[in-house]
Amino acid sequence: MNLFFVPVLQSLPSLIAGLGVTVYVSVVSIVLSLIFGLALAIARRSDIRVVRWLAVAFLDVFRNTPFIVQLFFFYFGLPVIGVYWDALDTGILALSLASATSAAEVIRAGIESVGRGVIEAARAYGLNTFQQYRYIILPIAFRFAIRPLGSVLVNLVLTTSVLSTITVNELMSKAENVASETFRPFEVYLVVLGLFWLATFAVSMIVHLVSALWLRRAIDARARA
Amino acid sequence: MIEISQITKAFGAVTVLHGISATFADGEVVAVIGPSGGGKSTLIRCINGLESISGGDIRVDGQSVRDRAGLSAIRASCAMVFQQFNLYPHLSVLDNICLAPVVVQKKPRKRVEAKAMELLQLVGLEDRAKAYPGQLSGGQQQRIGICRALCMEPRHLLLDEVTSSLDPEMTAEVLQVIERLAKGGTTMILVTHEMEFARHVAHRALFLEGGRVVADQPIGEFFGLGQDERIQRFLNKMVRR
Amino acid sequence: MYKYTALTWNDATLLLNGLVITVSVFALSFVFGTLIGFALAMIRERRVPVISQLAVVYVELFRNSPLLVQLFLIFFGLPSVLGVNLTPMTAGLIALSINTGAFMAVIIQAAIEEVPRGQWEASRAFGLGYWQTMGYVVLPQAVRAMIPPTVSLAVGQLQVSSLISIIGVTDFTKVGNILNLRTQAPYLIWSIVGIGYFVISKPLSMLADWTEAKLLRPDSQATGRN
Repeated sequence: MNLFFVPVLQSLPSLIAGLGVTVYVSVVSIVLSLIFGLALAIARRSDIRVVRWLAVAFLDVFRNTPFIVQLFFFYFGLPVIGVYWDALDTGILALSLASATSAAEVIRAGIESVGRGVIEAARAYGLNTFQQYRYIILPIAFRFAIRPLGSVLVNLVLTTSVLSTITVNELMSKAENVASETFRPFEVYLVVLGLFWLATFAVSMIVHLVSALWLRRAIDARARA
Repeated sequence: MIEISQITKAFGAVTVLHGISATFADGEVVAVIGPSGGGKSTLIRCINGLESISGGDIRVDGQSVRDRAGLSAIRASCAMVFQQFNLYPHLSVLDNICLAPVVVQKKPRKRVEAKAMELLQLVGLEDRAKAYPGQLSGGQQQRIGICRALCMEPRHLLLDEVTSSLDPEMTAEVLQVIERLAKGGTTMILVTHEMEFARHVAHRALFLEGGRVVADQPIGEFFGLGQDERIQRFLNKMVRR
Repeated sequence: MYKYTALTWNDATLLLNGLVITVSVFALSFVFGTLIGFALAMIRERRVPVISQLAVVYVELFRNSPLLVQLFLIFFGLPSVLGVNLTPMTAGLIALSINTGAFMAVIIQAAIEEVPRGQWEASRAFGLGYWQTMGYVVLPQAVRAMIPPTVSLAVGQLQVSSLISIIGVTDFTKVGNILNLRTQAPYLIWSIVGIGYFVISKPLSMLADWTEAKLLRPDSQATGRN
């Protein structure tokens, strides 16, 4: 077994460029998936049957089909109906939708952890539904959801690698290039493994920081349903 | 004034309230008493629309509880204190008290905060304004719950077994606060198991059993001799606690 | 415009074969992964010096990196350093198993830690050794907590196994790619593929939801919690 890491390290600039694209795709998708995920979570609890049913169907489909199939669906399908987006945007679209469904499940679990009595108090004092969500339900739900949400976001970053199959020049596709140029696939992919690990570590740290700073106040067991 | 006319309430197949009628005049303190499952909590929750009534009507200061549009106004004038306190765990004590007056009643924040501090002083908890519910004892939380209700400047107070979750020591401190309130002139509907307290503080007693009003009497009469045998038996059981 | 070649019965056979491959690879890798995860959890629990730390590194690394990279590492990387030749199928199986193993290790360990310490103490008081305690007392109780997250993980791994198509395994997704290329009818093909996965995955998802609901009911003997 002879491992030779020098060629990989020489190609580091190329890999870092790919990492940059990965970061960009991740950040945009995170923002979009959180927004859409929240909307889905609320829709899932809606009193209007059609809305709720649509949300359930949407969540169900995305949960039970592979991401790559969803990606191909958009990548090959959109042009057919005249939508000509580049690979990057298509990738972001597919990624955001898929992550939104994971986020929605997590947020929904968070919402359901909010004590029924506490919501009742808000109702009894005259807060309308929007006010209940804004001041009481969502703030508490997010405190419960932040950790599992971190998992969802980590997963998102990892899934960006699949975008390499539709010609997006992110870290994984750069890795493939470097591997074929240096004839050292093992070393290259090992290093890339490490780079992805670093990226997810960063995400976890940020989530941890947010959770510590913003949500410092511990919610005791009485808040649970 | 709160007028309850022949209301019925059913949860699915189970009817919990069978044609209840009662009137609560402004400034009256009424104790709602009776065995568990008799419908006391349900009744009080129908008044501010937390439960919808299946039949009959409730009018709070002329506004019907069946009219969805007016419900917000009713809730702003009938403040509730809960058995399980139900304070908002993620907000400080001060924010807990100020939330509804600012967001629902649209009162200016400064004024509401000032009033909140006043109320906290009244219950002896002004130094805990920045604390969080999770850091407080049950008795303290319930006193905050009362402040939260009072900050709405409500015309009527609905107290739903507010000491049932507290141990004797904390019960006493909360009852003290309620006693002071009772002298103040706000209408109070008090669902309670504390017989001695009810006798001491209320003007009138409503005895509910099986979802029906069995007695509606001035307090002296209710606890006096010559009371109905069923009720007397219940009272004896309660006092022995 | 695009050419459209009608789907034939031959294509149906292709699809079915692909589906069989998908399910087989998933099932096999999940079983292997569970065994790997179990071994790792035992190592961690027993706190074997050195190997425990290695286990931690392994778990952290393979849980927090993309399966695709792991796949390429095994399929392209291993041959170049070890000189062995791997078929796509073998590489896919290995990578999926390793990946599953990392996740299962965490699930199993967490379930074991949930069993009250008192169980260990009581067993020790009665003279049971470590492995006897683990085998007769702790693991049986831990199994209950393990099931919901495991089934949930299975649903995820089924979806993610589709990535082996990228290194050339003729699984359901790969057949989809082939047919899509030929028929140029992406909506038709990818819908079929999607429905195929859905039909296999949905029962598993329903099982996951059911076991999760079952677990939330504290119907076993009192543990002093809840």
